[in-house]
Amino acid sequence: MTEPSQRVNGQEGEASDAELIQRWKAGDQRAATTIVERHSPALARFAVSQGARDDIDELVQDTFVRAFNSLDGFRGDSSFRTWLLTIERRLLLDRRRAEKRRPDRVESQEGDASTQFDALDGMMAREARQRLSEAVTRLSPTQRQVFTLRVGEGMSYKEIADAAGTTEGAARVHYHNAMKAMKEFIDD
Amino acid sequence: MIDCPNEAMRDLLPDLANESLESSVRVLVTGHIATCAACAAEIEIIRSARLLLVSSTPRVNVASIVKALPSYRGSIPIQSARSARNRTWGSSWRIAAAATFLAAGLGSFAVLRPGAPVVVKDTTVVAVNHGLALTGTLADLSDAELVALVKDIDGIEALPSTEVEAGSVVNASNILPDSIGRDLEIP
Repeated sequence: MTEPSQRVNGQEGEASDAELIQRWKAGDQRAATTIVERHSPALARFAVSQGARDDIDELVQDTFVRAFNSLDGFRGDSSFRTWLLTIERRLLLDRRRAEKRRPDRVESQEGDASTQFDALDGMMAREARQRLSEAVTRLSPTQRQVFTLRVGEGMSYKEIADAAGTTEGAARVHYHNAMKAMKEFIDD
Repeated sequence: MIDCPNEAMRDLLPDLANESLESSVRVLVTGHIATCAACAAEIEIIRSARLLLVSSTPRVNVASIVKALPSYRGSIPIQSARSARNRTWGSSWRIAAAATFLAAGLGSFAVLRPGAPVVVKDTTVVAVNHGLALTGTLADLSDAELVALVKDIDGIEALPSTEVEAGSVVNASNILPDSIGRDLEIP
């Protein structure tokens, strides 16, 4: 696995997000680099789960710029990563609205959120991997969003609810429905 | 594929895959998986999906993102300001003049105002009004604090016992230590 699981506040011994934010406010640019390195993969995965493809770099950058411009407004009610994901979700919604208004827009395939991934090692048979990838792709956008956050990021249902703008109960239902749909597709 | 009826255990499977369970809970969950075919199958799907998601994460340009970030413009505590070493004095000649005179340890200093007579004012009152610690150095003050200090200095109406004759030109290099006088740029 290329990315070790980590709590959103960093591994034991690493500075927490709160500490890094204070350091950045004091002028330490390295703190900003650490924050971006720590959270950009999760933001990128979330963007992919929502259908973003070519503009992921720009979306992640816009999310961080907006976040750093509003750091004084971050109250700490949720984790920092959850807050970032909330910002990114809003940006995605804004972009979708803007795209709908454009007369020459290209219809995006809702189910076509397949990612281009690097070749995996021998851990997964190519066929099984393709099947799993297709199963994830076939999920509804909300199911895919919740599934990605629960499985990919290890976020709790409460954190998922905050990031996705839903309730904890709904997040749990979406996850289990997603798992059920994936099992049915894989078993077919 | 049937689901395990133990929903609480199923809810913990993603946490097991993300290695975020407390050790005692992890032992319970792995013990359950060893006896539950449904959960064993489900954790395999979760682990495979997680591997897929992580390995397919698009790479973003971290350096480019950091470069685009804004500078912090909020209020910075004095403690933090002391640790910042990128002070610039040259933005205001009046700040430079007032700060330099104070650093020289003079009991009074000159506020140089273009076209106006030179007035010597007492620094002690200003420093006390500001609540500034006189034991610190001017390098400890932020630009905002220095600007406020200069404004207060300008606002002092009481004239000291000494007053430079109106119209006379004060040559900073004559009254300042040589090292400071040389560096001070007064238009």
